[in-house]
Amino acid sequence: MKIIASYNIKGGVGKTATIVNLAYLAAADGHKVLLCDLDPQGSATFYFRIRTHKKQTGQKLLRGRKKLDKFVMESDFENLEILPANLSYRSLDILLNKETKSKHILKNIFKSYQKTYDLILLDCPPNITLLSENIFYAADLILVPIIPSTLSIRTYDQLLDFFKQEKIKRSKLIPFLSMVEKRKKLHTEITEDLLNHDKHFLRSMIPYSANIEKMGINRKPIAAEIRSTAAKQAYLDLWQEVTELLQ
Amino acid sequence: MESLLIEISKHYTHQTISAEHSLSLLLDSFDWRLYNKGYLLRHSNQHSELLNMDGHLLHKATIPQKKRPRFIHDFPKGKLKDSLTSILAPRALLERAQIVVESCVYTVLDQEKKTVVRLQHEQIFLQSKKPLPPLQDQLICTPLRGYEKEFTTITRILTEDCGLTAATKSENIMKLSLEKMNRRVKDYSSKADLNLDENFSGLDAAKYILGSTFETITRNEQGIIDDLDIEFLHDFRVAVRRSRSLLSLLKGIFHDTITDELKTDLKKMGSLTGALRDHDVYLDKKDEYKKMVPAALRPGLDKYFEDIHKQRIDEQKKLTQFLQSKEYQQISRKWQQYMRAPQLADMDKGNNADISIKKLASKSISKRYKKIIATGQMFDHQTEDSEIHQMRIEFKKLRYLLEFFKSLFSKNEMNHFIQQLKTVQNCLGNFNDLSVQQESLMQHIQAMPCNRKEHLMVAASLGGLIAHMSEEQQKLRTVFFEDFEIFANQENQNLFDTLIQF
Repeated sequence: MKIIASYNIKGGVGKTATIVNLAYLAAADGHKVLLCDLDPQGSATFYFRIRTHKKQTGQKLLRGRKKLDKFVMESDFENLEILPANLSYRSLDILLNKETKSKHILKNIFKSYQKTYDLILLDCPPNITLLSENIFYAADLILVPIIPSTLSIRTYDQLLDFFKQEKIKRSKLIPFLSMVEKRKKLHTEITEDLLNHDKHFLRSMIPYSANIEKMGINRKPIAAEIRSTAAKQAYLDLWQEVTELLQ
Repeated sequence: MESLLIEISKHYTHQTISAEHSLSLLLDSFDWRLYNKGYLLRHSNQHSELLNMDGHLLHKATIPQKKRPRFIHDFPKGKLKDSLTSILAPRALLERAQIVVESCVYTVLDQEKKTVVRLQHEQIFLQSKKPLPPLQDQLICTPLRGYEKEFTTITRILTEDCGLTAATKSENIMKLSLEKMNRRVKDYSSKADLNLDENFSGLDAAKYILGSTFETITRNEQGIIDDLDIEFLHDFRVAVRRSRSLLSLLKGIFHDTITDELKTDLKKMGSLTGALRDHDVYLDKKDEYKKMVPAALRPGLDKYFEDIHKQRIDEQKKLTQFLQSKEYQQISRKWQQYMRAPQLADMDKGNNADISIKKLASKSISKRYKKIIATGQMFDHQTEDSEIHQMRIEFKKLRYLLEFFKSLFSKNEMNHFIQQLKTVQNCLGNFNDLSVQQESLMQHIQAMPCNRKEHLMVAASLGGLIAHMSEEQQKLRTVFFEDFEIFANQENQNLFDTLIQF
C-alpha cells in the first residue's frame, strides 16, 4: 500500500481537483483506493456527492480504524471508497496538540489499512501545522501543485526549507505545474524556466480550464467524463507519471 | 421492470446506466469436471467468467485470442487460470450451451444525485431462433458501503410494495439450459457407477459390466476422431482393458467360442490404440522432461518432440480410419447389442453362467489378494525389475475386481482398499512408465542415423533423459517396498478376510 498526498501551503492551486481525478484514475486502473478528505472544507467529499455522517468527528479520526470504518462510503466508481471530511476537522490541529503532539499518529492509523487498500490518497488543508507534519511523515509521495506565479513559487521554497529544517526526506516532494494559462506571458516564462532548471518538477502540467472549474457543477471527476478534453488528458498524463514514480 | 421503477421513483430518483445484450457460451469438459466441482464457466467476446453454482462471480479473465478458450493454456496467468488448472488439465473445454444474457443496470440516487443502490435486471435465455421464456429472470440489488439504510428501504419497497420475493437459492443455468435442450448434465463419467444386485448370476453381472464398458467405448469414439483431447483415447483404452480383464478374471461365464471372439476383438482395439496413447503421454510430459535435462541438452529434446509430434499425427489418422471403418463399427455395435440382449441362448453360456456373482467375485478377489500378499512377501532388494512389473499387473487385476464388484460388499471398506491399491498402483505405474520410456528412447536412438550433428545432439539429450529416468526408477523401488508393507500388514489382511467371505 502506498500513500499519496496532494498538498500546498497556499490554497486555490488545484489540490483537490488533482487528488479527485487521480483517485478516479487509480481506481479505474484496478487499484483499491481510499480517498481520505482531511480538508474541513470538504471539497473532495462534495465532488463525489457524499454527505458527511453527523457523528463523524476529528476526535474519532484520531482514534483509528475501529472508529473510522463505519464512516467510509462507497463512491459511484468501482474500487473507490471515500472517508469524507467534516467541519469538525478544523480543530484537528488543536486535538493533535492537546493529545499527543506526535508527528506519526496518521502514519500509524493508515498502517492498519495495509491489507485493505492498494492506495490511500489524502486531500490536505492548506497551511503548515502539526496535521501537515503528520501528513508529511505518513505519505510516500506528496504532490505539490504550483501555479507558475511568483507567490506560488515562494510558498514552495518555504516548504523546501521546512523539509530541510525538519530533516524530512526531500525526495517525497513532487512538484508539478497547475492552472497554467498559456496566454499569460508570465506563466509561459516561469513554466519554461522551472521545467528547464528544476529537475524535480514533473513533465506533465495541468492547464487552467473552465472544464475543471465546472467540476463543482457536474460533481464528478473530469477524468470520468466520456468527452475527452485537454484537462482530462493532462490528468491522465499526470497519473501516468505518478504511476512510474510509485514503481 | 417499469412498474418497479415507478414504485421506487416515489421515494428516490433513478438513472439507467446500461442495457446490454450478449451471447455467452457455457463451457465444460466432456466429463463435466467444472460442474462436478461446483463451477460454471461462461465465455463471451474474449471475456471468460468463472462463477459458482449460485451465479456469483469468482474470477474473470480477458482472453488474448479471438477464438474461445479450449485448453487451460489458452487462459492468461491469473486467479481464473489457477482455479481451473488442477481440475481441468488435460481435458478440453467443450461448448455445452449457448445463452443470451440481457442485462439492464440502474442506479438509485439520493438528493445529492449520489448512487445509493445499484439494480441489475438480468434475464437469461437459451439461444434459439424462436422466442423462449427466460431460464432465469432476476433483479440483483447491490448495496453500497455507507448506504445500508437506503438499501433496506429499497428492498422493502421491492418486496412489500412491489410483491417481489427474495431469492432463496439461485437456479443453476447449466442444468436449466441442458434440460431445455432435452439433455442431461453429468451424462458422462469415466468412472461408471456399477450397481450390481446380490442376486445377479455371473452372466447377468458380466453382461451388465460389459454393457457399461462398451458404452464407454462408444461414447469416446467421436472425441478421438475429432481429436478433442487426449482423455477420450485414454478412457476408451481403459474401458477396453477393463473388459478384457473381466473376461480373464471371471472364467466360464460365456461359452468359450464367445469369450475367444470377444477377446480377439478387444485385443485388436487395444493394440491399434497403443501407439497413439504412448505419443500422447510423451507430448503431455514434454515440459516435465525438459526440466530433467540440463539447459544445454534441451534443444535436442525439442527436435525429438517434433518427431514424436509428426508420428502422432500419422497415428491419429490411422486410428480415425479404423474407428470409421465398417469392420470396427460392426464389432463395437455387435457387442453392445449382445450385452444388452435380455436373454442369451444356452449355447452361449459357459459353466459358471448361472452361479451367483457374489460367490464368483468373492472367490476371484480372494485368490488375487492372497497371491499378491504371498508374492510380495518374498520380495527383497534383489528382486528383478521384471518381477515388479508382474506385480503391477496383479495389482491392476485386483483393483479392477474391487471396482467392478464393490457394490456387492461393504462400500466404505471397499473404498478404503481401492484407495490403498491406488497408492501402490500409482507407484508401480510410474515405475513401469519409466521402464517403457527408457526402452522407447533407446529404440529411438538406435533407429537414428548418427552421421549428422543434429542427430548427435538429439542422442545426447535422450541419453541425459535416460540417465535421469533410471535414477528415478531406482528411487521408486524403495517407495514401492514401503507402500507394500502398509498394504500387507496383518490388520489389513484381517479386515480383508472379514470383508470377502465366501
